[in-house]
Amino acid sequence: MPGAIHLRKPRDFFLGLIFLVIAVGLVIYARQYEFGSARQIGPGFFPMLLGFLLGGFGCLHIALGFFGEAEPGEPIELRPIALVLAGVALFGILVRPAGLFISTLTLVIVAGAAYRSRRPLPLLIYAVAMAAGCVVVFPWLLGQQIPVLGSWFDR
Amino acid sequence: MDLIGNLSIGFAAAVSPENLLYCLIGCVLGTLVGVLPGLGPAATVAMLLPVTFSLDATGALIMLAGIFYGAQYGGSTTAILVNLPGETSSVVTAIDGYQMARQGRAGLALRAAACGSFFAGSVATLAIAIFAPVLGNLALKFGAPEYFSLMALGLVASVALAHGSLTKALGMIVLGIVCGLVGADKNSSAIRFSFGIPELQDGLNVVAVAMGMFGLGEIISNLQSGVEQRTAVKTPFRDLWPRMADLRAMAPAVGRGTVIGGVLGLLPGGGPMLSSFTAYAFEKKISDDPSRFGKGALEGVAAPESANNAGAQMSFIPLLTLGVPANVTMALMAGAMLMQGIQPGPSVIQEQPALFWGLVVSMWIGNLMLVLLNLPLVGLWVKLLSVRYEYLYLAIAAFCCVGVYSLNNSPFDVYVMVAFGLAGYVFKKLGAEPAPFIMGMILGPMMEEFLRRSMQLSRGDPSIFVLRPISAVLLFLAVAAIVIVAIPSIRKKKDIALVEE
Repeated sequence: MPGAIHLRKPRDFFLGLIFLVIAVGLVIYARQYEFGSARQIGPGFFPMLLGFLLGGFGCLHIALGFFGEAEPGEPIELRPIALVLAGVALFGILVRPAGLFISTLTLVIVAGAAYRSRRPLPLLIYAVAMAAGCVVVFPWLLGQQIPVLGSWFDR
Repeated sequence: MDLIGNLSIGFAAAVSPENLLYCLIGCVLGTLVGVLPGLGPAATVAMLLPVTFSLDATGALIMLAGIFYGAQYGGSTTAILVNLPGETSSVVTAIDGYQMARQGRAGLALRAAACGSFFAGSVATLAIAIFAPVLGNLALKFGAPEYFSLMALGLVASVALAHGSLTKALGMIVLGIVCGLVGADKNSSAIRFSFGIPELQDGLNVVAVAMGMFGLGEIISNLQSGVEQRTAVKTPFRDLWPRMADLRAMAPAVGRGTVIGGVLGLLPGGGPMLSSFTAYAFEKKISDDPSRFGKGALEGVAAPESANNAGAQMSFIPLLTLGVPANVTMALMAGAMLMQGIQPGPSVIQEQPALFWGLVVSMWIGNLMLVLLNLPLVGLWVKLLSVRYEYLYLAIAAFCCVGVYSLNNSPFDVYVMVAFGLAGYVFKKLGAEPAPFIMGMILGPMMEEFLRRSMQLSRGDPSIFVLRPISAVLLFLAVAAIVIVAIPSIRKKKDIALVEE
């Protein structure tokens, strides 16, 4: 297709887009704060300035996405991203109510499933060992204030 | 002389049994984690930060410093034996070091790295002891405009010297500054970007963000691309102590590397990586026979290893004298100091001499420990590499979780880590590095504050930044750094120098 505009560098384009979207949000959001004067700079001045700077970089990269040599796109696998992040988030959710042992166990099992061709039994054994290890090292040896068993186990 | 007096204060503080122990633990832990693939010094320091919380300020900083150069050192061991640089600054070490190992000269390569590092570390320690008080005195004369310009230079230099796209990195800095502004504004007490979430009123925790971007982000990308399982070169681990003849052969390269690293480490944004790349390129240039490089040249190991150690230690100077971290690892050290209730800056030397000089002396002791410990323990470190990534990443994730939670005993920090883990991965995928982001996040709020004070000082006239001589010079350097890097021919050269393998 001669003359048609092609997206040549998707990485530049999408990075620019992210910058631009955040910049627009920033400028709109910063308007609620006092801009101040040159002598007495208000809380709204710096965010506004950053918003315009970021917007500039955003537009630049969006434009760059249409020039130069085309680069191939890379495949993205959602499974490892989702499982690792879910495991960590679950740790955060569980650490207070269930305690360190159960939250570490959950983290290792959920994040462990992110690895393809994983056999369940070794993972389970590893998870128990890991959870026990964390309990020994952090609250017991280092004396950190993390409940081994959380509020669910309170009487 | 004053220097002797100061150093004896330092020895008194650093040689106490507890502090020696903390230094030892720091070195061992740092090496242990530094040996593992995919975890550089910044991630190592972030991960192990919580371990130091229960210590007093001096002990905590001594241990963290030990962790830092331990991690630095662990990376070069694996670079030589396994061709797996533990972090970016030992990438060049792997080129000739691994070739030497394959030719059966692993022992010599390891000795060169160890002796070079120790020599460079000793020189750098002495340099810190001599120059830090001088710089500290100079820094006391700095006003708000000078600090603002200094930070601007630091941010710009950190991206100008790094690899990758300049504009992407500048964008990441701006984004980092924005995230640094989250929370209560110091001056007006306006709460910015909290979106009604009470935990955000105190701002985002830098360590949680850094661990998300470096720790989790790294795990996710490794799981995507797969980490190569490599096996170490079989080498007899006897015979690791240096001989006179070796020392003579490596001495000139070690000396040159130390000087290069010492100078570049001082620059904001410099530090170990730039130092080792430059030292390697320099050795290649002045060599009678450049073709030996890449095939196991001793200078190709000795020079960059000395340079990265000198650079690593010299990068403490801007933090300890000006309160301005020169790179991400130093930014995390600054975070650790703040958590211990110490404001990094020129006043530390005066107000806490035992802490300052103790830290300096402990750097030298730590370097000595690394040599004494690590040559005999090389076999053990290499064994660690046989741990498969499918198990290793889970241990890293668990450490990150517990570490971040224990910063404030708050699950919210864990969620912050999740969010920035995702963000770090996405940005990396789009070709933007997380390091400038973290630098922006730490320096940004300080810059806003200094900008505000400068403008009050000048009654609203922005020309104050160019009318005050020190500030003008710093800003000029910042602009020059951008212009020079943007010139296409230099840009090409820089890319080649940094990508060269």
